[in-house]
Amino acid sequence: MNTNSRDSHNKPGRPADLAAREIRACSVCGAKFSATRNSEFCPMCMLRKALADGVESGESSASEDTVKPTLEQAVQRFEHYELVTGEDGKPVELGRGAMGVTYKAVDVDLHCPVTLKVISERYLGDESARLRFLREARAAASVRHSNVASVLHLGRTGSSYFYAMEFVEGETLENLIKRSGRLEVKLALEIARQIAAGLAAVHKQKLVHRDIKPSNIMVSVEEGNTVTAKIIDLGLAKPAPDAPAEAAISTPGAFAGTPEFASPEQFAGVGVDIRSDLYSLGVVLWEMVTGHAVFRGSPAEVMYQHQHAPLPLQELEHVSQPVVVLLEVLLEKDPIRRFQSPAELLKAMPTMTSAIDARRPVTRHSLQETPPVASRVVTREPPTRLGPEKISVARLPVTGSDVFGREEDAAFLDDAWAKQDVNVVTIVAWAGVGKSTLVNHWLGRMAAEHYRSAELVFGWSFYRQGSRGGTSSADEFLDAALSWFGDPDPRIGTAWEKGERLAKLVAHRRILLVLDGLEPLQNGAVGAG
Amino acid sequence: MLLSAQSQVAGFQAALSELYRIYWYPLYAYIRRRGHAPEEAQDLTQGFFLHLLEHKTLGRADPLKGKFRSFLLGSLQNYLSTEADRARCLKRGGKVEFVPLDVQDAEDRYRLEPVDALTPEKVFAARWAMALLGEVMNRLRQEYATGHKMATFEVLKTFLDIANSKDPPSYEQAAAALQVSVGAVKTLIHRLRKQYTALLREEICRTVSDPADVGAEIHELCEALLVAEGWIVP
Repeated sequence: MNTNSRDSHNKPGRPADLAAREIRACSVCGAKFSATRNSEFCPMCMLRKALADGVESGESSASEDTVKPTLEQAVQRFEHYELVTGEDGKPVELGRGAMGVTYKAVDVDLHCPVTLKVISERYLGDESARLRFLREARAAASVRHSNVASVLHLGRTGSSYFYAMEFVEGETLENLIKRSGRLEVKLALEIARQIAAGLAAVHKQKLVHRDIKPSNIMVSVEEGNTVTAKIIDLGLAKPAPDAPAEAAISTPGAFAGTPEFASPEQFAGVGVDIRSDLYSLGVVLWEMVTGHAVFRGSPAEVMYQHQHAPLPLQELEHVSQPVVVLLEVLLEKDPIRRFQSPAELLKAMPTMTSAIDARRPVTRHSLQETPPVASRVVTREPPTRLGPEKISVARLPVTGSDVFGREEDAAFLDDAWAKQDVNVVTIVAWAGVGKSTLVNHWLGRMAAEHYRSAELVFGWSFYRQGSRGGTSSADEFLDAALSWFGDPDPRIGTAWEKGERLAKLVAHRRILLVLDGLEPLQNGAVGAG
Repeated sequence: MLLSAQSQVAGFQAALSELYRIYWYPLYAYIRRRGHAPEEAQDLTQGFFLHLLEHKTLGRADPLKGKFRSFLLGSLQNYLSTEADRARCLKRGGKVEFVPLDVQDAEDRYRLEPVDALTPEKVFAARWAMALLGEVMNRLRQEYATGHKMATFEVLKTFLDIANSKDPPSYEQAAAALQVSVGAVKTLIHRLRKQYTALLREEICRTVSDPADVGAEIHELCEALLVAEGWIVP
């Protein structure tokens, strides 16, 4: 920055500097701010320094040559917890989730380490987010088990909430696997057993974890090779639905979780229960014994494989037969064919270990209390190609006024849906022919028959007038789609920027987007939908 | 300080001019937001300044019971709705020197800040915060320039918010650049931070009637910055 008189008049940088600005998220508080070439400061953190000074002055007598990051420490104090800073002066971050950031901290009264989860600054004024955060803390606090990290305390500083959790020594299971290549079967089974025990406690509180994965499991191997595993993050935990959602295609359940470890029903956006966590545990066990996740590729490919691809059992050649059977049960696509609860899995564990010791094979029936019934869902054969390479447009010829709703037209749509290389279907016909009726009829059937294969159906009718003064229904569509997919504030930005954000949000999902009534977007065209 | 100078005595105009110099952009942007064209907005921004001087509004009632920022916005809203025309006449025959406004710069910024979905008041507060921080940084730079320590300032200013620096220098690099020891660099950084904080508090104090309100003002500004989600440029 230069020092000429221009700056003393408090003007911004030259337009060129401004144009080069970039919106970033502050690495300390998470708030968004504009960074330019000359200014990389988070305005909120800079402002808070004045607060910190008020707190600090009077108690700090640090001489100027023993410089500690005292200001940061003062800012980063939450009641009697103080964030631990690394050598670079930044707080030691343990993880970052949708709702908040977790840090390593110290209880200054008890002198013991804790894990502190702080609600993200962006949600400070957002009452519903705050309630979500509270619900999350309460859910986590309700689970008390030696294989689940306990929540110790919920507090607030100013308008910000945080909660303190037991700090778990050791390393993440992800690290351990990375370090070891793959784990010995017995160790892997013991870790799986402990995760199952933790899940049983989660299940007892009628919760579902929804994000069981190696980075959410802490393990420490003590002397004598005893291992302790703990589930550490209940950030996505949610009450289990009372009844599994059946006609769930219209459930606006955006996907939450990690694709590699998510269950098929999680991708479907339908209500999930504890059996979904058992599937994820299966993926974790697979990774422990093979060194890698069961399905790999782009998020879309992974998602597709979880839902439709058979298990690559050839990768388990070196694994003993009982473990293969266990994995097959855990990784059933249909929840009804899996273990029905963590308790059922725990009961099967001794059978497993004794069979391994005795080198004896096991059968599914010897592991499962309730023998699997015939699946309600037929897994479709995977088509030869997973992802479309180019956009194809299929045109549905609707010619007469009495053709809609008929089976051949619906079959045309079925066909287009099944073909992975068809990306866009336009239905063009005169007004009044019944295009919307046909599509609605077909969607209804999809909902009933194929809800597991449609990740999300999102429809919008452009016939609707914009309800906010001056905005078109297209604007409303963008805003609605953004909030549907979890954009924190859909109102901000130009249509182009919103479109880009939307594209990023939906990038890893297979989505059926139904746009009805596009006529207003065409000049003078009649009846094209 | 405005707080002491505003009591109908000489120095009031100087104090107001000084504050206006710092905070005119949020006012200007607010007026633009109300639908006025750039030239008109410039006139109104100037006119409002004259209006404040003319009416000694600041010295009259008890405007500074609370925040200067809220008072200014309230007065501006009042002014825009009732006295705009009159003020423009005043301006045409006015004898008082205006605060220099660089409208071209302001327009460049304004166009970069598509914050139409936020309330004008929130945007005003967010812009105010940025103006405040800009002024504090300018004053800090001035202090170093006066002490012939510009190099120190340039090298170490990144350490004010090192966490967000894309390419943060190490203590060693900073020490090498300034040709001092690492220990000395740490001391210098500590001083820089202390100076910054002191200036920041001082600057905020200028705009609130009670020093006890500084915290509340910071929280309000932070809240506005949060909802602005980074669209307000520094």
